[in-house]
Amino acid sequence: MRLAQTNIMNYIILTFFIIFALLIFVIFMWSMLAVQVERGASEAKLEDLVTTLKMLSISPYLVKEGYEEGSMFVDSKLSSVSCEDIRKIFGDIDVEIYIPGNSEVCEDENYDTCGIWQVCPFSEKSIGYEVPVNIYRINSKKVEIGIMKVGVHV
Amino acid sequence: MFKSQAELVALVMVMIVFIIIFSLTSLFKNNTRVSDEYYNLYAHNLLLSLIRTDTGYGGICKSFADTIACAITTNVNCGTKTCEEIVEEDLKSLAGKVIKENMDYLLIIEPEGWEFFGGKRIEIGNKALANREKRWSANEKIMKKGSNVNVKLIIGLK
Amino acid sequence: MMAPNLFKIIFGLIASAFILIVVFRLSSSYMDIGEVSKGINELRGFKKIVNDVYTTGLVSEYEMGSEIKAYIPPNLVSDKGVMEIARIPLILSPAKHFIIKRGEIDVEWWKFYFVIAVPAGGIIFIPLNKTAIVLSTIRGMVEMLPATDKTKGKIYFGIGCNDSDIFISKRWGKEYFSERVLPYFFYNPEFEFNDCLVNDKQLAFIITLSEEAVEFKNKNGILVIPETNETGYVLTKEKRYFYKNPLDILAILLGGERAYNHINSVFFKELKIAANFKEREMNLLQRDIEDEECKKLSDEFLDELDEIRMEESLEEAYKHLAHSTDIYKYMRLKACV
Repeated sequence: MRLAQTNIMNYIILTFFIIFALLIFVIFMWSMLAVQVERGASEAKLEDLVTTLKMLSISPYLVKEGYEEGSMFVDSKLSSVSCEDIRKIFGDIDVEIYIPGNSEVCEDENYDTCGIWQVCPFSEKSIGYEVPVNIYRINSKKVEIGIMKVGVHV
Repeated sequence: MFKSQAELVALVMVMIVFIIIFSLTSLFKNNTRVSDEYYNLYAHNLLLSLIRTDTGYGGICKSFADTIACAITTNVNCGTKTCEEIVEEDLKSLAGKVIKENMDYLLIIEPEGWEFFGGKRIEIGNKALANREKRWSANEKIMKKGSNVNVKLIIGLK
Repeated sequence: MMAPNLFKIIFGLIASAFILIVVFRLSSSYMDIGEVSKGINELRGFKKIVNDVYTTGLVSEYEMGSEIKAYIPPNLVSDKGVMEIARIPLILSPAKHFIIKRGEIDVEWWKFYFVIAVPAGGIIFIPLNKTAIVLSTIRGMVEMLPATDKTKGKIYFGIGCNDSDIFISKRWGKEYFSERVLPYFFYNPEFEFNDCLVNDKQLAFIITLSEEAVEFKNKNGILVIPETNETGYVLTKEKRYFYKNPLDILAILLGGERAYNHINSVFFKELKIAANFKEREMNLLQRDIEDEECKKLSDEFLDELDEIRMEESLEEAYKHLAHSTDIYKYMRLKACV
């Protein structure tokens, strides 16, 4: 009798344990799904940033006519854009274009010799991507190499 | 009784092993899709920017693209240097200025149809990149009357 | 000994039933999630293609399992979900299979890029007047649509009606239709066109053209009333719209009033920003202009840009835009810019 009772108890406990393990498994699956969804969201943000880089590279506001493949900016155009209007078109981004080796920050008077255009200056909290670009000097008609940085606030 | 307990323990252990394998495989799935897209864009932009930049020499060596074409087809002098020397020098200087610190490059210049007709071929940079598994590349064609020149840039992390 | 075994059997059955119910419930909700995931992934793929077309200018094609029902800016709406496409001016017609192209409005000193997503299918033009303006208007619309020689889905064109005959072929892509078919029918006195009801379900769009406002039979399509080569009116069964370029006509055709209002609002916003930037740039460059004629043209150009920036209505701004385009073209000719 005692043995039979023990057997039944074992059986009941085993059954409950299986159900419990199944529930744990289900909870784990749901939380893995949640992690995947969150990762998908941050991947989408990075993808958006790469798209913004490409959009800026071909933007008629910045690019020299005849260079539809993009990334040929004009110094006078770079000096004419405002952060507020750039953000109205491209969203809440930071944008800087600079020529390595040229530390002159661009103002109106020195657009043809300067090397740093802080269109929407990066802050400490910004993270972003950078790509090489060209800058066409409208007065001297020379093409220089530079870097464009585009970022978002974290 | 011991047998049942052993069964219970075995069952729980099997479940735990499955869950661990599952979570590990999910976590190790790297964010490579966006990285690849970015690095491909980077390679393309780097090559395009390089070839369009002015060298400062003028004439047949006005832009880096002009100098490349000269180096492959004629290799005359611009000033006191040959086109090939200017290509090598300028590439190191320009790429050095703009390329990310953790990246390396290899530039391959050859006439169109080089695999069939041969001709001059120039490689500048880290030649080991050509065989590396994790690399990104960009191609451009420089059109010159007579013969076109294919330019390939390969970049990789150091 | 029977009792414990019986108990085990009954208890086992209850426990199994419980487990089965839980597993069934989970798998059906996972299936739902799977379906929605698939739909969202399709929308994500569409968004990627639109981004790529916008940034590269290459024509692309996209086929989905679910249908995109509408573009309610900035959201794409399908039966499986919603996805935001911000920052890219998009015109879209509800469908499952799209040909996607980047278009542009070039005003000499600025370009406005946009993307159109057109369903594969046939487009019929019914010109009630065979005049140069009508021909030019048709050509303008065809020019904006994608060429589909390299895609699986085809956008093809036709013309009608000659009594009740319609001339259409799947081999008449945009270039062939514009260069060969249109001149053949327009300059051939044998063919006169009249309005007729077109019932072909395979046709994506029916566009009737007339130089006067008339009752038109194909009310599911539109009536275009050109006044000049560029401007005129579009009538739908509900309303009348002014158009200033073929983009406006396409917007109404593909997406109705919502698309027309959206694209005009985006265009106007970007036009003002472009005028602002260009004005600042011209002020920078003007310092180095020595030629008197160039200075005068530059001042005139700046005045027009100023008017564009200040205008409240797009129609009025467009008049200044047209004038600014002419001045800039002339400045280019004179090598002032």
